[in-house]
Amino acid sequence: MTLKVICPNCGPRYSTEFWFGGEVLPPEAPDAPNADPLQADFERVWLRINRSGVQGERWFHHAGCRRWLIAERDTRTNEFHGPG
Amino acid sequence: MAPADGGPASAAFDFEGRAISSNADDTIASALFRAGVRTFSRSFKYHRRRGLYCLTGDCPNCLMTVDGEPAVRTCVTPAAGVRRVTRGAGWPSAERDALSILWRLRALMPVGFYYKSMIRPRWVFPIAERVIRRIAGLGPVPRTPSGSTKERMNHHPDVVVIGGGIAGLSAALAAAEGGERVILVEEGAIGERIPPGALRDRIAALRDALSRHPSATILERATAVGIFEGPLVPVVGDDLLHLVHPLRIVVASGAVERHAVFPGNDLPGVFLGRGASRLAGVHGLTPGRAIVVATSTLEGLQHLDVLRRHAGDQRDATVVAVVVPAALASRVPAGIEVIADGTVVEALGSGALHSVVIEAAGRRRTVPCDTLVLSTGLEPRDGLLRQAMLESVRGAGDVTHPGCSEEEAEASGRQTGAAASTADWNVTNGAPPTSPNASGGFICLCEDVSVTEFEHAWDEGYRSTELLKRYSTVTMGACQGALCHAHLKAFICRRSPTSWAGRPTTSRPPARAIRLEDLAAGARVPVEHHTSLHHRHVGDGAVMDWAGSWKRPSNYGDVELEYWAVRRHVSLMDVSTLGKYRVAGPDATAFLEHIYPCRVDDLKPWRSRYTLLLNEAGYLFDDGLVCKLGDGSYYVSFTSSGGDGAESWLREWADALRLRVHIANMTASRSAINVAGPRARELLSRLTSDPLDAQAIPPGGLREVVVDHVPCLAIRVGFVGELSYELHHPSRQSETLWNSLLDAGRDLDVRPHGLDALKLLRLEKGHILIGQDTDFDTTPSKVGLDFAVKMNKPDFIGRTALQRIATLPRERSLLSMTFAGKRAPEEGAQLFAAGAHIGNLTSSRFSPVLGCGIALGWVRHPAGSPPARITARDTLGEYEGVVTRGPFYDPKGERLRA
Amino acid sequence: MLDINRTNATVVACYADPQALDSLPVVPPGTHGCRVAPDELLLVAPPTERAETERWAADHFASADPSALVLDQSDGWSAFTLRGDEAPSVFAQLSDVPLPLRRRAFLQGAVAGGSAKVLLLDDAIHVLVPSTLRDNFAGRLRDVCGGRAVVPDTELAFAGDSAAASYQGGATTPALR
Repeated sequence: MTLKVICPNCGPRYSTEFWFGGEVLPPEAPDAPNADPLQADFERVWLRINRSGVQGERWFHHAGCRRWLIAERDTRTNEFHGPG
Repeated sequence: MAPADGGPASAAFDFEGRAISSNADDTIASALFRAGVRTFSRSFKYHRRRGLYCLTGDCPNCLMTVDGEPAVRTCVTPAAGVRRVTRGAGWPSAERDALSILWRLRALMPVGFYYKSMIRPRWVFPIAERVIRRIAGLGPVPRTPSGSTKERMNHHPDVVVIGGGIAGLSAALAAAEGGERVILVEEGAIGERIPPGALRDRIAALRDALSRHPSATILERATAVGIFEGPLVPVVGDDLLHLVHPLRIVVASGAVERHAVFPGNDLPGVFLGRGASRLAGVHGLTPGRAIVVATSTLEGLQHLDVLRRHAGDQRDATVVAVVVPAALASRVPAGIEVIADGTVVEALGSGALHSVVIEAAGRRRTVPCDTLVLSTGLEPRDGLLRQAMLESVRGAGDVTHPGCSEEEAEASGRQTGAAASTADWNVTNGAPPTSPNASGGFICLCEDVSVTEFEHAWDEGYRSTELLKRYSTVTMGACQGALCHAHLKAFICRRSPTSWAGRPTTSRPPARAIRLEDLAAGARVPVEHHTSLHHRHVGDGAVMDWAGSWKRPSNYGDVELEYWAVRRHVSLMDVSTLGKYRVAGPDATAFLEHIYPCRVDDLKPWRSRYTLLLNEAGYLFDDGLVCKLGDGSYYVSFTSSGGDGAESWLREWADALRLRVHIANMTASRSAINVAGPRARELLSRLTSDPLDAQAIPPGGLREVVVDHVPCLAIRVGFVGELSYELHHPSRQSETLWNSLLDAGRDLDVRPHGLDALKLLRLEKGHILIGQDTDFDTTPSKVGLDFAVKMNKPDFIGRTALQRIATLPRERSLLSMTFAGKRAPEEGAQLFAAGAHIGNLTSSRFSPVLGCGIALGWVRHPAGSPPARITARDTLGEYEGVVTRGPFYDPKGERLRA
Repeated sequence: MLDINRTNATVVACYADPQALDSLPVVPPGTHGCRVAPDELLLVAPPTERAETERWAADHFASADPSALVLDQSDGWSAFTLRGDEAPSVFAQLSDVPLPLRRRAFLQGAVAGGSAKVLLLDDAIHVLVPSTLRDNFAGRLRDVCGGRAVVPDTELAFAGDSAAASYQGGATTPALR
């Protein structure tokens, strides 16, 4: 009864069949020389970009194949761009 | 369908003590009208008499309580099957309503008066609120559940068409002819509102053609709720809640006749053209004896025609005058007075219309009449369209082009219904009504908002669309703006064109009033998981209760007896709810080594280890066991409530680490029975020839044993603090195993124990329950679980976070406490030391074996080490406690390591 | 016309490399291969074939992917079979998963609130729910059938037959091997 997620194993299903796993963060840049690893870990665990636009995200299909999928969704329109 | 002619009655219903007869074609309202009822409701605020007006289900005037359900639109509800009808408001009755005096006191109740009055002194408002609730409103809400067992049905058509008029039927037909699966939704019965004639015949023909397509489904008496993301169109039907999941949507919900605003416009006797025409043409009832028709459209002239044909049946009913623009004057039949280019400026009457004031050519004249029929244009009924501005939603017919001809409606329907259509669905914002500066009258019939109130609100400074709407509550009633939205716009545009937001107010579902219980159809039953021993527990008299999404035995009638069975001899518990997984594959060891904070790579075959689950923030969210099997693969378990989510956790990390592991969820296929107590080994040895001694299965060890022909994996676990064997076995053999154990242990007084006993037993050993004794941000050291974390491992989930957290001072810990006395404090009791509040208890019980109260609780200790003595305060009193360390019972674990 | 039964079936789960699962030869007659995910295949067969199916799978993977995991998961699933022209509408009352128009398919999704596997075989709809939800599903069947079709206590044996295409993932309609 909500946005539709396209599962590569099962096809399009309502998002209520899934658990949302959060946005996909960009790969970490190589550590700068004076980078504090504890601070870097904090930012990786707690901070999010929260983009208005297309973002990569992970969804777990708990009601179906019980696998994770990565997809792109436009957070403004909920348009799914499928597994990426 | 011939119009009902008042022939032999086929049914009767009770109306406030009177028996009202009805025909097969009657609506509740038409049956009441035929019986002489003219006051159909009392208005929301002022308790003014209201009569039939629209007969299309858009206005609030005919709302009554039908068979206990309030706010039923009697003008569109069939009378068949109805038993009891009452009017919702009015005291002592709707006919003689003492509260009609409120109209005379209207100066005391200006717009928004409830925001400004009855609020000082403060005790006034609750009383005023109760009084107002009784007086205003649409009728009492029933207190008893209706007992409805309505279910839901999912449909997956290519197209759904909402609206069963000419445009909707044409759209559905075009789709069906194109080979698509189509569902047509109509809130009434198709064609029932149209008087006999060419239009009705055309509709019947289209309907016939449509029903011949097997891929077309017609849902009548089905109300579309709204357009939701998906797209999804929920439709409330009589028997089912239909959930329609279409690819495309065509909205052909038509238009509402324009509501006219002038003083007296809400008097019984004032009708909209379509309403009067339906009453006369479909139900054969003349609206009155002396009728004035005021129209500016061709449609209005058609209504005039219908009225004349049927008014003729009633000898004393005549059309007294017709008010039309000069251009249409020639189309008025001879013998009727024509008032050209006139405007209705006032309707006069006290409780019923007795004359109208018409202004023409600068002069005003009063025309005596008892009925005024208004047909001054159409407003699109576009609530559904405005809810969903999606590419897949299109409009057709009156809803996008109000006033279009039948041919145009049919063509737009066909065009929109066809698959490859690129029809433009844009809502045409119809020109605002051109009524003159109204000097009075009701703009909003639903909420009793008059022109005066609008002016007051404007004067008070509420001048934007949204503010004026909210302050006056216009468009927020039963009609949801169908009648009044255009006037809101006209009012603002006249006063200050720049204040108009430029777009209509937001339309939100539901498009029509629906029952909440209908939305819950088919979803009432919560999903309940059962173990394979469930029916056995129920049969044994267990008290079953929710534990997460499972039903589990809390006890079997005597918690203390069950408790002592574990401590003194032997007892069984069904622990099949545990999350259980088999983890195998080339990288299984490396995988688990990274997942858990404890060491896994040094775990020997047939040994187990207690594990924690930490997230990347270093927070504890589950615990369990990891067992190494003989073939090098693993059998891991999680708590009952964490078990389901564990699969997502394991797979997420397997993906992220790119490791080759196989993860199989065995929660359902494997069951587990815990045999616990000092005589557990003795009981088991009666059923197996496999060795069970401390050599063969040491504490924390596991072994494959066959127990009375049932192959089990026996794991020595320590949750309850006695010698225990958790027997993991194939689920279909659970009952066999359970019976064997109970039979073999009869002389040992074996009995099952439930969660109540379990919670006490584990507390005596100081074991935490995740979620009860932990918060979302609990780290292992705060709850004394440092032993399960090996910080010197190269890496594991949460390691860096724990390093960071270790640099912060620890100010809060979970402590063990004992309380002397016969009663332990309640869980949740607040803790104090030296008069200051320092925490709360999360687990607390009286321990029979120790003879005192034992508890776990969170304590803040910012100044260093926690206090040694503590006072607990619950709803019953105060308790003095002592902070201790380690398990309360058998601290050295000798009983468990037997 | 509507006929509902509890069904006894063998379910053997195979976890292996995607290539090993792709290269699976034709499954034994009466068995259906349902590709749950790239690395997981469920073999559904009549109840009498439990040992045979497990052995067949173990034999195949011994060469194709020695690190594969083959597990008898029959006890973890409860199957119900709906037959008759009313069967699709009963299904539609329990799930918003669309049934494809083709006669054979394998679907996964929420049915009666639980995570289910669905096999469409000609005119039979076989629904497999986790065995912990067996009572829940039977109860919901009674609810939507209005007491018309009572699920009997005894089970009928799953009668599969050798089948058609296979689902390999992607947006195509799922089908059956």
